[in-house]
Amino acid sequence: MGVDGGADASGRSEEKMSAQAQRVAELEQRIRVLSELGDAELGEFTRLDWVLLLGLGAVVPLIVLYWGAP
Amino acid sequence: MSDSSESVFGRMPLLPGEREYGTLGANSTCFAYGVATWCFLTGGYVAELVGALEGLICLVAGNMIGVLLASLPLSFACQENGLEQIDACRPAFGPKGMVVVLVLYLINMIGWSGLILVMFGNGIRNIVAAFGFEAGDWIVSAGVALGIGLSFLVVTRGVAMLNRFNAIITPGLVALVIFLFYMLFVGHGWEAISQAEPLAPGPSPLVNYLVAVELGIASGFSWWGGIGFLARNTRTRRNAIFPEVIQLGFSAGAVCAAGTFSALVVQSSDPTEWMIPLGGVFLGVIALIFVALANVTSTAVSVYASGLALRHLRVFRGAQWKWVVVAALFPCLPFVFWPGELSSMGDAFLAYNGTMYAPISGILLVDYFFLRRRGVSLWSIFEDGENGLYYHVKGINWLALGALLMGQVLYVFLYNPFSGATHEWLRFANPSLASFLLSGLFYGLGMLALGGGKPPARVPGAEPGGFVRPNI
Repeated sequence: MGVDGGADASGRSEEKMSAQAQRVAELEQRIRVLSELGDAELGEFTRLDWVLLLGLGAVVPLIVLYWGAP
Repeated sequence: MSDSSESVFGRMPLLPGEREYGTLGANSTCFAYGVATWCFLTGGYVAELVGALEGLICLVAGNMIGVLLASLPLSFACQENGLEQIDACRPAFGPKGMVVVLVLYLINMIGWSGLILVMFGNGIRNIVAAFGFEAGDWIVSAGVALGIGLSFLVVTRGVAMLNRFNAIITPGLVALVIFLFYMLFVGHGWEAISQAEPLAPGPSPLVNYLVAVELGIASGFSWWGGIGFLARNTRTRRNAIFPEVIQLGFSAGAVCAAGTFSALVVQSSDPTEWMIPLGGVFLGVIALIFVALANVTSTAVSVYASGLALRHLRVFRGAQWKWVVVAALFPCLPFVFWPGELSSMGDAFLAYNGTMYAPISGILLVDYFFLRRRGVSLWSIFEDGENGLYYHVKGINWLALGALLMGQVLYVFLYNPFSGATHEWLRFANPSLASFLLSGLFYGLGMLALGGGKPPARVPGAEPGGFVRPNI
């Protein structure tokens, strides 16, 4: 590897580090935004939702499975 | 998807403004994801054990339970924090411990890919046979190799190409399911379907039913791989979980049942052998060609997801996408050489999904809801250094791994998917549910004991950063 090759490799390494630093900066920014979110942005999930979800996804299927057993 | 940056971006926590799915979008995407050719495989496996009505019950109800238990922790953790699912496992398993989850995830994705590729090869053999040519088994192997090549071409051309394929294939699959139901009910009628004998039942009807229930629940758990991806792209908590239970649970279960009915009427669990007897040569061959194409997109979706998962490993983080895809497809090569032998283990593989994901889901549920009370530190999730809150011991939470192992042992004790052996306790405890409960309880109590009776401190997620070893 000649002088140019060494310079290329060093350039690539710097580029890589800069890209990594950019990704980390973006990640930090995203974490700050996400940590401030509440029900208004993420949507609420009420007790009624829980009852519906557990009824639909667990209670009713379990009853049907029990009923259908030979 | 042609370079690494997009894939790396794929792990960044998604902000609400970037999320694609409202109610309609979440439902239609879950439906499109749920209605895939692997449903036919699942339906075929259940037809070996039970008849039509029992199969319908086991597949729909079992699938809904499995999807609910897999979705509960992942949907909320991924939606509330914009995370994809492997990252959502880091608080419980640690930055190195989550590699175990990653490996299990890859086994799941590669296993499904291989089975679907064999179905693709079988489809080609049956198309050729419909024209009067009897090809040997080599054509199945050649089909698997061709499927691998086509999947590579689709996946390396990026998610846009994948979406374009899916936009054609999904409505076509819906039409195919309607076609199957129509031919079954008009051509044969419910009486014939409901009276058709299971293909290879064991001596005890109750045990057959209980194993079929387990296959239904395991089928629900096998959606684990896509749940985080779907949930993090939704804007509200309701849209993160209800569409998954309704579409991946109920709708996919109904499509699986169409497979069971077809298998019972045709008396074959191979979906590529249903089309011609049910629809005649002309319609049957068209349906077979379509199923073959659908198999390529299903495989491409699995390989794409596997590629993204491989990005978690340092060695693949900066690699070119095409090499990541090669790495994801490489383990499918044995299916080229032993298609029949490996695909005959498909029902065991389906149950193995329960072995893998039931205990993981139990651990994640207890960790996210009860120990951390839905507050995780995003800084620590993206930090591999010792300063991260989830570093545990040398990057591994051994308690979570122990709980996972314990759940798997219990599962195999109750029902060994590979030998088919069942324990008499199977009558009282479903393997997936027992494994889910045991792992969750052991993990929760163990973490409380380690914390001197106190759960880990709830982290609001906004603590200052200062990454030492960021894993992005």
